[in-house]
Amino acid sequence: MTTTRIRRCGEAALLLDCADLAEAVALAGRVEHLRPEAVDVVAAARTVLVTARDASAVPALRRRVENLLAQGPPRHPAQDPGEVAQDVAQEVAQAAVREVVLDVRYDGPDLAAVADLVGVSTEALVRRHTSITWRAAFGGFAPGFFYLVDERELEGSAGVRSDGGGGAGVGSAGGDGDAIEGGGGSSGGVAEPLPSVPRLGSPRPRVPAGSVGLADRFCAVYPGASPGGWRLVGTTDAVLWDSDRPDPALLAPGDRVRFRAAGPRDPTR
Amino acid sequence: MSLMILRAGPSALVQDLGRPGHASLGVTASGAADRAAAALALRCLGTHPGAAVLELLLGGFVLMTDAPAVVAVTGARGLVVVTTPSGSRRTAATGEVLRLDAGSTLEIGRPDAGVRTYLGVRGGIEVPRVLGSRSRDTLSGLGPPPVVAGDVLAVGDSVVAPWADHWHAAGGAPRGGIGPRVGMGSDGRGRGPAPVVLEVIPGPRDDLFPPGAWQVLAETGHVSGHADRVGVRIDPARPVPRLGGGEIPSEGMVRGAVQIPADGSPVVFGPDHPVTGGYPVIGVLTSRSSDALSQLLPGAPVSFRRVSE
Repeated sequence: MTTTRIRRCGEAALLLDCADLAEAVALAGRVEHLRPEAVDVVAAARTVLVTARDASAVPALRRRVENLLAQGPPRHPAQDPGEVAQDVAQEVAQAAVREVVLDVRYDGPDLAAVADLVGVSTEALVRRHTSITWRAAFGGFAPGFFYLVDERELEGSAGVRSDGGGGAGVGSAGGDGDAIEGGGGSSGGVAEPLPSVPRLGSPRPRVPAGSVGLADRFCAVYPGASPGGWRLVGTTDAVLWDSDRPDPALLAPGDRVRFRAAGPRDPTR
Repeated sequence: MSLMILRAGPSALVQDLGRPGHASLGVTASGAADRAAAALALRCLGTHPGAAVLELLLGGFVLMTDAPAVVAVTGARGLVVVTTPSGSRRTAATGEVLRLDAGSTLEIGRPDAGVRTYLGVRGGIEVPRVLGSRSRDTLSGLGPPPVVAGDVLAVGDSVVAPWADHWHAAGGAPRGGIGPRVGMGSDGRGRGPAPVVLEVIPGPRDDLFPPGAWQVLAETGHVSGHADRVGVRIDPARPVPRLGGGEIPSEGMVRGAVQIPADGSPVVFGPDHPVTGGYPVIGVLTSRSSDALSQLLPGAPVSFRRVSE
């Protein structure tokens, strides 16, 4: 069963209408496997856009999408032994998720205002921001710009996850994750979520590259200088987009992202 | 072989078929605004369809070649002048394949109809690719920088067929859709330019509009001054009504999408459109109509026609 509806989007694209962000992100991950017939797969807050090479390729793509939807939602809890194999495959896919750690100087012009809004001190806001496991839900505003969302939000409607409880707490994937301080020890390793943050009434004409911003229930890093209405809490030196790299985008859809407080400017830089 | 740009005009961009396949990273497809015109230039030159051409806005362009070259000028109609090193001038027109001797200059004047001229060279324009494409994306600044006077462009070897010697568009007949044409109104009285009819495939959000929205779109509006490769705003005859007032969550968009913001003035996405948009899309232009729209000057009359497919 699925709530997804397929809408026509011009000669060569389909727009898949989903119930919520979690369903859209999960569906986009599955539609990715329909490449190369699916040329572009664009997840957004409640939709997935799928484009075909041209009009003649749409009927075949539509059939593949329909078949995929008929298989039911992903991450369905195993009900009988027959589904275990599928579940294992999903576990493997989960394990392959990359985790990216971004060092942030929490010096953004809106840091205090956001802390006020949340009703905590700036130190507590930083602790909370660094202890949340973010997930790169979708891109869109500019090359390398990703809408990051609290990982727990993606688990909301898609049923029970059985991935061993690693989930939203302290990174358990090893590697870079070990270096992260989990929630300052004050919350038993489980970060409190952040409330929805309104955008600025009037966007800034220029937001510097590397700015870490919050808007709605998303967090994002600006890859390059641009206008922007997100509330800025910090700055990272990480290069989110570099056309000269083999993979120009630092992040990819589905990546886990954690922020690490870097303190004031690193003297070694 | 290389081409030296002596004058670039208001905008000279390297374009090819674009870079589809990267939208999930926030990278739009980009590519030639009038795809049919760009493809025609490459085809009659026997050059690979994926090769790059120059997209020139409103002419004003002059180049010199350092070796014999074969070029084609397509798209917007206008005067083309070839001057040999010895100083002899030859006039030509859009829609011709031209042989240039070493040291010749080629001048592309301001168009009489249409706004974007495509200059193809046999072998293709050779600049480094970014994410597999030589297209300039004006929104994000990806791809080769705009061409300016003094630039020297290399010519590649993406040759796939003989070139069409002596080819020219028969009788200089204009391709459908270019520019406002002076004609009679449907009532036989009008003398103003007939609107260019843009074909729209309904969806994905046509259910957010009352049936009256299509009637408004069918009336003659005009291309506004806000018209570039990112999008073209249309000043409608009347504001296009919507059922709800609010925005919708951003969603993935395609070239040709007809967005209707709260003020009721349609915005049609061009090749460099953002990957996502936040206004409901009543329909999407056919690719032929997208090409036609990219050739219109501000003030040109247009109307939208709903098509089933």
